[in-house]
Amino acid sequence: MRDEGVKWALLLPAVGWILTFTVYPLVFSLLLSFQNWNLTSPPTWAGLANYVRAVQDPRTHNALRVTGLFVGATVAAELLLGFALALLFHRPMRGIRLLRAVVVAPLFTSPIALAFLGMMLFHEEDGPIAHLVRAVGAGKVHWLSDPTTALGSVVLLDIWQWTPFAFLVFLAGLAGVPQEPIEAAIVDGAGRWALFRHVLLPLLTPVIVTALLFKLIYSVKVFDLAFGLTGGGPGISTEVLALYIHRQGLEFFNLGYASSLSYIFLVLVSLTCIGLVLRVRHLYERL
Amino acid sequence: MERAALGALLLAVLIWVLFPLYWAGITSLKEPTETFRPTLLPFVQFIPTLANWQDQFRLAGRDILRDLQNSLLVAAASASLALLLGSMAGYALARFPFYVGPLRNHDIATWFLSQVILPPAVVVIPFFLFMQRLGLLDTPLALILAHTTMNLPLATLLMRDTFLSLPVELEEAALVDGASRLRALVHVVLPLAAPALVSTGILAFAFSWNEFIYALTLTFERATTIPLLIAGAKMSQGIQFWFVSVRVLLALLPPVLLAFAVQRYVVRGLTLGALH
Repeated sequence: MRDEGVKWALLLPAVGWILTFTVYPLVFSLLLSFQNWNLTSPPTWAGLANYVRAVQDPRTHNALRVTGLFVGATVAAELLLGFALALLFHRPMRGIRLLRAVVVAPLFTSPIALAFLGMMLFHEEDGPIAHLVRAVGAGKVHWLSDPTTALGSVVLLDIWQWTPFAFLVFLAGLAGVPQEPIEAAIVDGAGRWALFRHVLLPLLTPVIVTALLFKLIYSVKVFDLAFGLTGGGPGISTEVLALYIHRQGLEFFNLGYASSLSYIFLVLVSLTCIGLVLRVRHLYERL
Repeated sequence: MERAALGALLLAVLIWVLFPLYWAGITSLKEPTETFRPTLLPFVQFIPTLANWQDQFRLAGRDILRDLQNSLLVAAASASLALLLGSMAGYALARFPFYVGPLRNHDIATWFLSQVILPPAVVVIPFFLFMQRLGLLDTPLALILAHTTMNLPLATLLMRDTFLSLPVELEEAALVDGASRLRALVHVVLPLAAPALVSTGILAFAFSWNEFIYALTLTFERATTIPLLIAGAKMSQGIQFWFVSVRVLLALLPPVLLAFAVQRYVVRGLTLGALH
């Protein structure tokens, strides 16, 4: 009976904290999205006008397209690369401990600092990549000044930072794969491909879904890399959704409009992720 | 043959990972004019110098020290707060059954998990308005509140996972001996959970240290953190490699060094306890 009070006293501070600092701002933001407000004059009711504007705004379409491309490219490249590397290095060999220790570094690299490091690496005249390209006799690559390659440069930085995540997740996944089904399949005369496709892959599905979910969430939020490396440019060719919302809200002070964009963003992200969250929730279901 | 190919691949991966960091390191040790040349080996190809580091601290020493101090304060305070609230909630979820309508413990855990979906860009505007109204803009407290919120789901889920993995019998023995629930928690459970507490705290510290969008929005002069020192390094006359590399390293080194201490914990941390 005493425990009844204790358990709530332990749980409620954290729940209350999140309700105060997440749910309350979200409700406030929802109300704001139906108003026009630029901080200088009092807010006025706008009804659905901000949402209509969002649907028609070509810059919103651009932000959605850029974010989609970024998320698709980074998630696909990092998961595939990480999986391939994990399959290759999942064996006892010299140097593997060193590798595991070293690949942790990119994950802890401050993204805004990485973006500025990227400005040095991708510098079109004097960066190491430009020097290398020149040394092999190829022409100049406009890493940051060309609208089509600039997004690729942001993607490359993200791949550098996050491939280790997929690699480590899959390495842990492979280490946890039970040996019996694999041995049984070998006894049954399964080939390498059949073994991979029909035994290993199904066993790894929960791990793959988890890696996919978390990397999707981290990719969708991208802000620092684009802000620092390209500032959303050239033009608006790398202006991801988080960057555009931040601009509308805290540079142009269209607070109502920025809030409506936030809500559209939130609904899109939630719809994409909730299905996946429900697929991994059994991993949290130990009580 | 296959071993040789794997060895070569291992080397290639190591170079790919380490090269950008190495480049930042040697650039910070080069004379300004040397930074435009593709030289790689100090002492062999160029003479290393600490002049850039000295210049940075002479010209911007006050800004750098203030930002380092703010980063340290915000990261330490928000990590401690998240750890305190998160361990309490994590322990409750691991040891007591909860029934809230149709919701059970794992539903509450999933609710904590779902908080990571939220992009900061979505809540940063209301956060800005609240902090403005409370007069907290440009104070470390504003960032501490934001970063604690960001790290609380992580701390809760990792600590819940830790407490679930500890044997219940030890606490029960203490309870039978007449200890109160809180006494058992503090004297029996927490010492066993200490390694997880330290690792979780380090992760939360690093995430706070690296956080940029709240810092950009909520601070501008007195309470700025290291990420803002970096963002302020954009020069009108193009990027000055020798300055930028020093600032980049100041931001990179602390979390990267801490990361080596919690290597085994990284996968667990980034998947909020879903995978070990």
